[in-house]
Amino acid sequence: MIKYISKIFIISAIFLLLPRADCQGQVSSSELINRADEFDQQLISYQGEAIGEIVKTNDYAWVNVYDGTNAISVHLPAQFRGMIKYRGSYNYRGDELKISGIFNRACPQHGGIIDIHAQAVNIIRPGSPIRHGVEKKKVELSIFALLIAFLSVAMAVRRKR
Amino acid sequence: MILLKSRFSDLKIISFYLGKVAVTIAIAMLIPLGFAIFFLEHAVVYDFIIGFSAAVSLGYFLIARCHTNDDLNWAQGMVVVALSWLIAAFLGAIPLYLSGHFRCFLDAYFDAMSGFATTGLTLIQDLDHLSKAHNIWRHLIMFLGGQGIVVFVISFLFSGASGTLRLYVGEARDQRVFPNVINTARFIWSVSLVYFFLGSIALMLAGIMNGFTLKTSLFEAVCLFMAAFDTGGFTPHSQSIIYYHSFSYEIITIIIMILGAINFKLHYELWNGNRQELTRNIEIKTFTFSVISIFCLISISLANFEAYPNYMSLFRQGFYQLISAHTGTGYQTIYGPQFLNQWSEFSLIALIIAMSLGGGICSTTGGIKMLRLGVIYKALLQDINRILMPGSSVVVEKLHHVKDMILEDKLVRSSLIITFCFFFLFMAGALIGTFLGYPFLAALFESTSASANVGLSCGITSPTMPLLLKLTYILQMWAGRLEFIAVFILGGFIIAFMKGR
Repeated sequence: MIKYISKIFIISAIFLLLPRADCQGQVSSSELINRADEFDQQLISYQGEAIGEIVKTNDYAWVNVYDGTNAISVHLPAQFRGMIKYRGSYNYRGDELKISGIFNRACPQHGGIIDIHAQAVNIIRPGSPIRHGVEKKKVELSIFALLIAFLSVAMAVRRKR
Repeated sequence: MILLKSRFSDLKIISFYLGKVAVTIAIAMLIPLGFAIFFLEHAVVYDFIIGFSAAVSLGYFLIARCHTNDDLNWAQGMVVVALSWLIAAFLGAIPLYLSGHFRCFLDAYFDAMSGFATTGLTLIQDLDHLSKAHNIWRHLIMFLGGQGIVVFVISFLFSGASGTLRLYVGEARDQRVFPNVINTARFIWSVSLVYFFLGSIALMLAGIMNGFTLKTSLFEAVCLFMAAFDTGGFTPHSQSIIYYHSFSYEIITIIIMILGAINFKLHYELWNGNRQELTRNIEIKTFTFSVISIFCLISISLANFEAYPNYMSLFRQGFYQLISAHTGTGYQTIYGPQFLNQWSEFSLIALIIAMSLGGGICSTTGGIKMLRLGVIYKALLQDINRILMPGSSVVVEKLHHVKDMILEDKLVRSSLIITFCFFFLFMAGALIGTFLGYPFLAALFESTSASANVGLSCGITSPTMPLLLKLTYILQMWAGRLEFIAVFILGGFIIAFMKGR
């Protein structure tokens, strides 16, 4: 028992004493953009939907993660690239990702943009195809509008003759 | 004093020409309709059928009911132009609204006006899930607006009507490449289409280098080119140019933005091998001087403010935002609120000045424009010389714009009037923004961006902004794009009509 308690004590001491980046907990894109100075170079957690194309670089990739307000650029090692199956677009709801990484207010490596250098990526909810059903109302309105358009053209042709 | 005498016959001829504009918008809607079918976006097809039918119905109804063989006079021409833009934005907003990505029709109208006026401010929500067909439409209206809606109508729906000159001038194009307006309009389209193919190929290659598929690269390239060359600023993604994470995209869009900011008359000279014009033309000289001096100011200010960690970042961000502002495009490689949080007030003021200046006359840019700035500078120089010279001497100031010209008071007067109107519009929008609770500098930034049809945003423009501000920006985008004269004449026409004079 004493051995067990001492182990917990040692592990806790290591965690407390080791220098580490402050983890700011989960933050939103608005917070990151509006309070960028506060989060600069900090370890943060950010969650959102992977959208658009993945930009491939040599050993890394860029994925844009949208939390419902803004999309933030996430720079991640190539091994994480394969795990993202769905990216948000008109046809798909992208994978919901939880990113842990270092936030940069003006990344010195990437031309001064706001970005997150990911250390860990988890898929919270997998994406899926979006079915866009045709609305009956729109079909009816289309037919009606086409009819009116046809009548207008006919009227113009008749007037010209 | 209003000297107009409005009659119902005026309304008839104006309506007839507006009908033609509506038909043109309907024809343009067939392109996104084709895209919707091609990309199998079946649900979207109906949005464009409804929009197309509405435009055809309105257009042919007006043509049928108000058919006339009379030619337009100056006042009627100006009124047609002013109303054309309002009607085009209304018709263009229909498929956008039906996309379900706008809170209300006014928001869709805002985006349509922003597109036609090549501004680039947007109220769209969840842009990253918008269909390809709607995206093509957003960018296409920018392309049409950049060339000029009426130029488009003149190019394709008129055959030799003498009223075309009035329409052409009314659309803030007071220079012609050829004596004939229809030939000028067609030349503008030819230039744009040649650059369209070249620019799209360059952007497509950048997309492929980025790891995008061929289809995606082509789609992105077409959208980006249309918005960059027409100095509009829409992109298919909410992050603007940040989305691409590519230096190549930044370089190519900078080149396209600058090409879009050059006077079409100058394009004509360059196409005919007159390269000397590049070093002699007053617009190019003024633009170069302005970009270099404002960039120096922005760089010093950003460096002092320690906005960026190294000079490369400072150059990349500062220069891109400046070119985007100066050409009136509005592409961003930073988020809107960063202008307020990360940039110094001084650099913001420098950027506001760049936005207000714009590019060449008879280009796709908005704002005061380089020729006017050059003319005002020359006039100032002339007045100083007059004071310094003996009283009996005659001081003649010359300027070179395609050909050598003597500076005339008439040119100085018209340049000063338009410049004054722009300053008034910038300040009016800024005061309304401040009245609604925004900081003055932020309000001035957004107001200048809307009036000079730039599209950079410091974060004020959003679907939740007050209704009054949405209406103000719509009015600013419209008046700024038409450079006031057509708008003033429309105002005079309405007042005269109400008074029954």
